[in-house]
Amino acid sequence: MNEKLIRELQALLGTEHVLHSEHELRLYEYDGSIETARPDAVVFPGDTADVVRIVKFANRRDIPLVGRGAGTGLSGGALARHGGIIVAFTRMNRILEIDAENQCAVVQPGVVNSDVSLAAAPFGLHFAPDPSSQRACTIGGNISENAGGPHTLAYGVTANHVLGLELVLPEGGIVRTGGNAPMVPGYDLTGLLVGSEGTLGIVTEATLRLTRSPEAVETLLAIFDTVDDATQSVVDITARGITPAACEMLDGWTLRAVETWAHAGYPMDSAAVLLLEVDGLLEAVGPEAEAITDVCRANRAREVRRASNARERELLWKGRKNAFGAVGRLSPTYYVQDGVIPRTKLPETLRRIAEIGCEHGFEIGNIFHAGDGNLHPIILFDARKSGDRERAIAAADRIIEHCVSVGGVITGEHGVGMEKDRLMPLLFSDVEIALMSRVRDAFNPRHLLNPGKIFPTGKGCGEIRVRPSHQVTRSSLHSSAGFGSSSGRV
Amino acid sequence: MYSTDSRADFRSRVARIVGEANVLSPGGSTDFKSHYQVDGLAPALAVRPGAREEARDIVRLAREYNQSVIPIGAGTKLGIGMAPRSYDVALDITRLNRVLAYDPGDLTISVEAGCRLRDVQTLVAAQGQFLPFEPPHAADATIGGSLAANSWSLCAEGYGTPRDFVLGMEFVTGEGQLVHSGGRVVKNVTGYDLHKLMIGSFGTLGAMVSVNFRLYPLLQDQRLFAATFPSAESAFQMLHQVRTSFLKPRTLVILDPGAAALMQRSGKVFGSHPNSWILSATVAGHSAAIERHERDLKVMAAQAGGREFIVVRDEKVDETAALLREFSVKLQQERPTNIGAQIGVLTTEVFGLLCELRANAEKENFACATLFQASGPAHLTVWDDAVSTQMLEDPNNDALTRLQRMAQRIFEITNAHQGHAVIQWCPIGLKSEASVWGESRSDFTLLQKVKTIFDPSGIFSPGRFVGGL
Repeated sequence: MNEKLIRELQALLGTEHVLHSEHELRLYEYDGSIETARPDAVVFPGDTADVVRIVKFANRRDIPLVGRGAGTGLSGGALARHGGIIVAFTRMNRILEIDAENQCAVVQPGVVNSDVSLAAAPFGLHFAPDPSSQRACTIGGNISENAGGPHTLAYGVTANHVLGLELVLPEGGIVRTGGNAPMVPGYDLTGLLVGSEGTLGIVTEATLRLTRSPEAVETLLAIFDTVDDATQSVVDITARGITPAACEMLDGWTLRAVETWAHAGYPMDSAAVLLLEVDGLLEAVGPEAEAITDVCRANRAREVRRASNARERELLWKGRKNAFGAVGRLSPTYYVQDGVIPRTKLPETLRRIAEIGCEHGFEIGNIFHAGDGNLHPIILFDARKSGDRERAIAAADRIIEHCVSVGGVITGEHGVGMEKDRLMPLLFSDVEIALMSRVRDAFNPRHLLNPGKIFPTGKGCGEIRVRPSHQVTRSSLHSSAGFGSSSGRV
Repeated sequence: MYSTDSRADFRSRVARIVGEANVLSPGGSTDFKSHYQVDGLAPALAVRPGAREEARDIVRLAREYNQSVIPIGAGTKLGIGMAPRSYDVALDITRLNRVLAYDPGDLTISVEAGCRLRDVQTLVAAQGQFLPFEPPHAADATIGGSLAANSWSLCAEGYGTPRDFVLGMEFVTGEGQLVHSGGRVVKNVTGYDLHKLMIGSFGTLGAMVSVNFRLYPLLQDQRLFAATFPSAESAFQMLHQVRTSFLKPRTLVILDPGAAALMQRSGKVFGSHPNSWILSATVAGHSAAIERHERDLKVMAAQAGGREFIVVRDEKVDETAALLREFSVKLQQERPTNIGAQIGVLTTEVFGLLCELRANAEKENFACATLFQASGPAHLTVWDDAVSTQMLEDPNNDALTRLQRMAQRIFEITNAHQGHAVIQWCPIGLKSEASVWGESRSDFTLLQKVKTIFDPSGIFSPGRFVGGL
């Protein structure tokens, strides 16, 4: 970006709120993904009026704008793929209101996720979405990517906890959507905006739902000799009427990697560990923990451990929380994938992932949210070796294709970003992508907001398109009058 | 205007898609008008596609012939919204009633939009599961209609609203494209969630043809509680106690004395004290947890000054919950000259809002009944038994003017309490005077753009929604 433009930006926002030197910009060419892209400038708005100034400035000069929180995203969402200005929300980090009585909070986008829960804790409330990066990641980023986390099984993802937004549009207009009162008449723009990856507008304020914190929590760790037994336990727990707050699984390879470093107490020869949490009333969690123990034992669990206090709970979570750190010690670089499958397809999918690893010459570990079928295969590769990165991406693509073929999707909580834009045709027809693209045009007609994300650009996307296999329904379930049966993809 | 030739041509092409038996005309059936008319307007024909692709082809034809289309399920909520600017074709989706995919182990289901909600509940209940959606008109309502109207759900306190458990959807756009959004899995951030726009769009963006839901384990043991109070203050004090406790009721509602009296008459389980406010909650789950709820709720009710504490068990729970769920519907059907409003308002504002609305109704000599759902909307019905349909149509009678004044006050009072009101039910005469949706908001320009993208020719339910969309 030329010096004249930098001087204009500095005049708009103050010299100290504009970064433009080579070494400063380098810090902003990364996020949590394996992609990089360098911006031309980084600006730090202090309020909505600053954002409007920036947006108008960029719009007049056709400069791309990319919002950024903490840069912990895993799909390149906060990277300036086509250059331009990164709008970093570091300064807009105030919690404007905690409204305990109406169980909501009004925050600026730069507020750190876990800070909302900290501020709400004195009222017995918390913000439910808890991505692994929750001590760093920001609400603005959570909203852009529709972030999840281990406890979304019972509590839902970010979209379920955002009630309203203030938004700056590319021409500088300010719009409010939704609100804290329920049942706003009109199309649910808030629902559309959450997860739109910064391509529709720049969020400058959010009204969040706060959730009552539970009275009691029970955490269990079950150790299995086969993945199938662990998976069957997940299905059987539901059949007992229990919706766990969290239900995480580590496969054998991953638990061994974790054990070697973090000493979480996992037997090195086991095939899967299941980490389960139930919460609620004191009277409810005890019997639920008992029932879960029974189910796991009935499915040949080698051992079921149960924690009732915070220290023991921390110990059981230790392995899960340190898993990525442990993997980091085994390999200079690794690639975390994010596919989703119907959860009954877990065993066959894990077998397929192992095969894909063999075919491409990688070790692939699996950590996943077993309750909702959200997989995080971890592909270990060495970015310094020529061709390794490309092969890792090819292996990841095969995994994602498999997820789609069994009725799943290409990303559960990391976002499409610049990582999976080319995979969008796996799930969506040209007509469907065109419809989404027209929605983007309505908000962001000149594609200046986060360009190069979500939408596939290159030609030949159709070549990788596969149609998922048709799910055959169980005809025995359709005996009730008025129901026919058929199969098909939806 | 279109020539008779063009209409006949359109009709025969429609018949070629769905078969003659599935094209209905006003002359062909006595029920036609009562079933398909919207605000007194009847369509030229009703079409019943038997496959999602047929629905798509009909919309394509309708666009070609510039015929306006209103998608219709069971038709239970067609009265909501403004009178359509035009209405040529009723797109009856009730033959789209197949289950597309259901593996109980996945805790998800995919069904066509014309399925009756009740049938889906029966199907999944046999597998020990349930769809956490309990809107009114439970006996007849279809999946598509209930979602298009974003009907309030009795168990929203425990499970949220449709945007929380609809995972994906297939719909036909105004361009006649059959598209899908979302997926069949619980977690998904692939692409824009266009299906969220369809929920609550009242048939103005397209026609839903299939929907994927998240399911939950069915909790067999349940109990319903009702506490009666001498004043609004005491009932709301208990509500505050419940909401700041660890208790997790699956439903939580407050009834004003008007609603309480009607419920006491029909249900006999809501106490006997006249002029009571009632707080009612249901809980489900493990027996120890149910006992704890009962214990704590009883103490809370006593502390707040409750008169009676009623416990309903076993199969009586569903029956009693149904009375609450169908309360406003029943009231509206029995009193066709009333106003029914759904009011979205903050918990802290409800008390003041209800007191003002009730005082206003009284001043205007109207009876009123309100059911307020915690963290959901309030449902207010206002009526005067002395007013007949004839009086509303008589220009020399002030009955309609009085109702208009009341509707105006509902909007004013709700706005003053930072809420939003929608008049869901009123005499047709009222609709020509003001929008039943209230005033448009700052995002209206974006709503218009969304409408244009989904339905560029404006053939879907023209003029029925917010701001004439």
